[in-house]
Amino acid sequence: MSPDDACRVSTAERDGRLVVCLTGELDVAVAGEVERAVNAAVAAAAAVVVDLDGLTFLDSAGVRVLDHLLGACYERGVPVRVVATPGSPAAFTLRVCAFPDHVMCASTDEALADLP
Amino acid sequence: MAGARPNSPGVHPALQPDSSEDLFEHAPCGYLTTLPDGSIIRVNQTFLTWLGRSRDDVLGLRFVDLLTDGGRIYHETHLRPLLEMQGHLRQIAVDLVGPGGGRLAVLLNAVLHRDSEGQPVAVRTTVFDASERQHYERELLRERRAAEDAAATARALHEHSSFLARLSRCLDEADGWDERAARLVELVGGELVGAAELWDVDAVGRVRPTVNNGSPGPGAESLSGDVGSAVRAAVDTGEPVLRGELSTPTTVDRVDGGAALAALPMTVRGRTSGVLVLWARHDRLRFTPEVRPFLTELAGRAALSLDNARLYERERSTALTLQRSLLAGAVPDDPRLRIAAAYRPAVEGLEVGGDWHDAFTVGPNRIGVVVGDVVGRGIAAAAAMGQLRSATRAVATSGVGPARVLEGLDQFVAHLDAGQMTTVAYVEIDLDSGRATYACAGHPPPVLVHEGTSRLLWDGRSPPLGAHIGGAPRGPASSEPGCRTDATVDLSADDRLVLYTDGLVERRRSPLQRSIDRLAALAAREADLPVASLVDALTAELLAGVVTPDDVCVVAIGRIATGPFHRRLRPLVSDLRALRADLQAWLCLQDPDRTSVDALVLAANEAAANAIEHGIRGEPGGTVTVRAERAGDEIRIDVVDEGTWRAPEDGRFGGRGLTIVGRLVDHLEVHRDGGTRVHMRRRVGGPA
Repeated sequence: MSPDDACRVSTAERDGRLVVCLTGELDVAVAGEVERAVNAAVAAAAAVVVDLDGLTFLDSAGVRVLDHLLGACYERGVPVRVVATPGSPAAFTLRVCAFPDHVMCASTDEALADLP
Repeated sequence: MAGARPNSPGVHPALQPDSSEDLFEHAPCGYLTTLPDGSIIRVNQTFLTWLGRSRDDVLGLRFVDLLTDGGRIYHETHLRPLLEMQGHLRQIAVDLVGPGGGRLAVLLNAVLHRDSEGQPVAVRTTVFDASERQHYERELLRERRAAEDAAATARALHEHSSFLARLSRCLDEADGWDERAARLVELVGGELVGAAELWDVDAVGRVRPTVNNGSPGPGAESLSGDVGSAVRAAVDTGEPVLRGELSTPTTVDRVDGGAALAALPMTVRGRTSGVLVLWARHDRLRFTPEVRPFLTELAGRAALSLDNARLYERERSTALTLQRSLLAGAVPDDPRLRIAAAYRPAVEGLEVGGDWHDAFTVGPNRIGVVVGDVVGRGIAAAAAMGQLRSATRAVATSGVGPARVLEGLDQFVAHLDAGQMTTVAYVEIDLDSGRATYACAGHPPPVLVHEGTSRLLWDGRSPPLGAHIGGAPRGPASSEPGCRTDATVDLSADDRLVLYTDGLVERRRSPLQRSIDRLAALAAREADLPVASLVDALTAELLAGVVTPDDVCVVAIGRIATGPFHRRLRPLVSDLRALRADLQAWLCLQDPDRTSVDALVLAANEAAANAIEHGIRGEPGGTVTVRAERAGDEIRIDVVDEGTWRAPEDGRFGGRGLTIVGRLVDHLEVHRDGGTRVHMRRRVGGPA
């Protein structure tokens, strides 16, 4: 009835890759906090998958968080994929924002297989 | 018998008069007579025996020849002049050369005899064996030193024990492990020694530094360094480890007369959970072997205090987790009713209480909402709360209505042997008609807001669960109909119903009625906020600066109807989430395609976020209003702020948000006239 955190960041390791799962609502109110948590989580990762399927809402501030993350990963030469199943709330916002298609995957398995 | 007369008592040999010669020779003291030039002319046997020399050997020697070298100097410079001046010496301690060259300590009394013309004739000297006395004096000296040491030790002990007392008090005043650990290193490192650092020992014995008092920045040292190895040794031996010279230089002062570093294992209940590392400072506590007991006691007390905090936090967190898990049920998913709740546990350091709230489907078109307050604290109260929560659901879903639900709960607490005196507010709402039926068991009255004014719902009242006041004893026998009452009230679309527990309104030094009236006034003022924001505004306002010893539960209920939608937002981005929830419910009632709902929620969110961020942010009184209405196959949304627009940093008109809005709606207008009005329209299809 009153979930404490609007948006939660959790991580798991699969096949030596870091999978960052976002759940809840990622909006401007929590974007800064989520960005710090994600940055801390991926700081030492060699390859990153960001799973957005747990998000029930994503706004443009949330898209900026993902944009910054992608930029940081490119700079460090760390391959990254973003999972948002078509039809999901996150996929809807990413499509509206014309998020780059080539990092998008429909599932975590697909993202892991797609990483070099 | 006459013939048995005792012999005439003879004189005991000891009482025979001594010959004066014998008395002289065997007196209990030495005796000698010397001429004014010091040569010995007469000496008794006692003195000869002490010296271990024969009379012939001694006669003719001068007195100074019998003295040790040191005694000789003393005699020439001090005794002789003194004797000549005052004619006698009393109790002068000198050392003679005894048998075998050993030292013979004696005390001298001497008298100088003069002839009738005042010329010195002879010196008569008595000599007392002073070895016993000297022994005694040495003993005395030793005792005095011991006493001084003991006093110093006592002083140190007193300082140490008052430090320990202060430390214990200081730690126990702090809430939680973090705060206590911080205080520990601050107090010990800041006042007792040069610096302190706390190392954590995990369940498998791995160590790592956690908290330090900043100086000398020891946390940077590697585990293989001096500190790391001392910490390891302390964990392995369970004893304080003192290290002298450190191989790596630190900024700590050089300390003479003590170790530079001490690593104290913090052991409590048989487990070493940490190591307290201390760096010495020259003007503070020395790490000498003597302070080991003190250091051990210090670490023991700190360990106990930190361990207590950890245990306490664990139990509190267990109770909190239990309570959270019980409160985390899904709200019935019906767009016709918005229910938002807040639960705030009692202030940090106090135990979890037994407040709860719940919402569930009672039957078709009917939703039940309950707020309750179990007496007591901790895990027991949380567990009783959980059982009552389940019981409420179980009884209510049989569809008997609020009064009968409370009677069922009376029966339940009678069997539960817990939860007596629990207070409950329970309401059932018909989703079609908006009719609400409510009952309160000893609970503060719900607040109803209608068209900008609020009133308290005082009807449908009866005593707390299982109470023996106000009628027949509550229990299995009281379950016949009629013991509990309920009442009804009709909710229209923009009405708000607020349920709460007494932690929201109970204040020391303030009558309950006044607090409840304040809540009612506040609810009326804030009723046009999104439902979740109303809950937030009530708790923020009523609990601001309040340290309440009680849990707080607040639930706000708002009906959503198909008519025009209107919400006010505070200048807080956190209100956006509450807006989305209400708007999504309203949009769902319009029954459009799924994509349109997503698009319009996102569009309204972006426009409102822009308004808050660039229009009214930082203006306390500033508001944003969001209106929505259906016009034919079109949904129109207006987002209006009255602020002064500040250009977003990226320089684009309206920011990135409005660029997105343009892609989400069929028609977008931005009007700037004082404030800003963003007008959006989108044609909607039927259900996707």
